[in-house]
Formats: sequence, structure tokens, C-alpha cells
Amino acid sequence: MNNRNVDYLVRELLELRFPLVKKLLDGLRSKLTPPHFSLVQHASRTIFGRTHQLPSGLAHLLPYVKNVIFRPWAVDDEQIEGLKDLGVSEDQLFEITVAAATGTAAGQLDRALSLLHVTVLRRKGAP
Amino acid sequence: MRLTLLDSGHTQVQKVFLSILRRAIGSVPGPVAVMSYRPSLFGRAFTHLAQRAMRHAEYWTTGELEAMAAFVSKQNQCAFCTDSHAATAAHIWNDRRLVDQVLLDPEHASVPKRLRLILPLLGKVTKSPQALSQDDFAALLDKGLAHEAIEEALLVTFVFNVINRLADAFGFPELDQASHDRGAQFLTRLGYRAACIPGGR
Repeated sequence: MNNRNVDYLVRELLELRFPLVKKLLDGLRSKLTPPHFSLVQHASRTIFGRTHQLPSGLAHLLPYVKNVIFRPWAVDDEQIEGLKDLGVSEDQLFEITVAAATGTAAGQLDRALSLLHVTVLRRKGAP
Repeated sequence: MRLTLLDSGHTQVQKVFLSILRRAIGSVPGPVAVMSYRPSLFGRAFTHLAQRAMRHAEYWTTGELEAMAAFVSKQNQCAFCTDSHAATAAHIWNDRRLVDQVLLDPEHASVPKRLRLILPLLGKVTKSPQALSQDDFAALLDKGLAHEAIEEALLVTFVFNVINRLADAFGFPELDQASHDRGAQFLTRLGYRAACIPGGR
């Protein structure tokens, strides 16, 4: 079973088994600006150490986004105030945080689900 | 809360509901403030998903699901959610000692074997997802867990890997144990969708 098949399988399964996760992600895609939605994908890859370029206009958010992904307990008032001082609005911070948190969890779920279903399929005799 | 809009950015209709809630339990819980702010972006879909994960599972009891929620939250070092869902599991089980066992020594806790089996996987998904392998899942299937049961537990893990991050990043106000206990009664009675107060944009 090659990676392309696995990816296809998992997307299909995610839609079938977790339609409400798909609905949540589709909602974010439709409501967020493309740069902010890119944080969902960024987080889902970064949690596995894979690189994903962010739009250049978001570079100043990277330390905060990294904290949300890996060390949310390390976010503090100073970091939030620093971003506000740079001109990031509270509404933008809300969107950024929701996108990074959801993307991280979606990446974890995607990985676990793919491994589970490949394991199940192999037991049923799939190559 | 670190964002003032989560304290005061709700619609007028929601503010009425929130003031009633504040009078009833003393404060507006962080999850309610977040889920009710711009619910068309996030809270409405997320609470629907959380309700499905936490109250409509086929393979796990509600107490087991709440114990999973507390356990995942502990892996994420999210004190607010750990305390909140530990209180809810204890309320449902009527046994705080059992919840503490799950949190401190899950592999030896006096809970159903299936819960003891699944918790280490949920911890790995949460803390070191890059280390997951097919062997992790094969071991659970070999021990008799249905793959649908594993899927349901993964959905719980998804929910709390999102909300734990929001709790810490937004700085949910800490609650004392009595407030968590009252929140547990509300959560048990009303479920997760109630966290998204109607009337939002």
C-alpha cells in the first residue's frame, strides 16, 4: 500500500468516520482569511517536525504559534501583550489561536487514524 | 482571560445568558466564553463535535470518556481541563479516588481493562505522535479492543488536544474545587453543546 493510497484512504475515512471534524475544518476554511487558515496546515505539519512555509506577513506570529503547538502552558500575558503592541488585534489572536490549536490536533488525529486503518486493512489481507 | 473580547465581546443576547450563568455558578467558565464568541467560526461546530465525542459514544461509558478527557488534559499539562474533567468523571463515578488512580497510575487503576489499555495510546498521540506506529494499534486490536472503540477514543483526544491549547493560550481563570464540582454537575446534566450560548454571530 503506497503513501498515495494511504493518504486517499485516510481522507475518505476521516470524512466517513469523523464528519464533524471535517465540518469544523471546512468551517474554518470558509471563515478564516487564507493566511490565517494556513496556520491550520502549518500546525498539523509542525507537530511532526515537517516544514510548512507561512505567508511572510505572519512571520512575527511564529514564536506564539510555536508555543500554542508545543508549549501552550508557556503562553503568558507578556507574549499576548507583545503581539498586541505589534498591531495584532484580539480578534486576529482569537483566529490564530483557534487555527493553530485545531491544526495541531488534526495532525495528531490524522496520523493516528491512518496507522489504525492501515493496521486493520493489513489484518484483513490487504497488501 | 488574556483577550478582553472573551470577557466582554459577546452579543447583547448572549450577555443576558452569561449574566444568569454568572449568578448561578459564580463566574463564566472559560470554555463557555470561548465557545460562545464568534460561534459561527468555531464554537458551534466544535461543541457539536464535543457532544458527539463525549456523550454519544457506543463503546465507552460517559465516565470513561470523562476520565480520558482528564487524562489527555494532564498529558498536556492543562490544569484547568484536568481539574474540570476529573471532577466530572468523579461526579459520574461517584469516586474521586478512582479518577486520581487513572491520572497518577493509569496502568494499575481499578478501572475496566479496556480503559487501562487505551490510555497509554492516548498519551502517545498527545505527547509524541511522531513515535506512533502500527504496532501500537496492533497491540490493542490483539487485546480485543474494537477498532471503532479506538476511533472513539481518538476523537476524545482530538477534542482535548484543541481545548487544552485554547485554555492555556487564552488563560482560562482558575477555579476552586467547589466551582469545578458545580461545573461537573452542569456538564453532566446539560452536555457540551450548552457551552455555546445561543444568540452569537
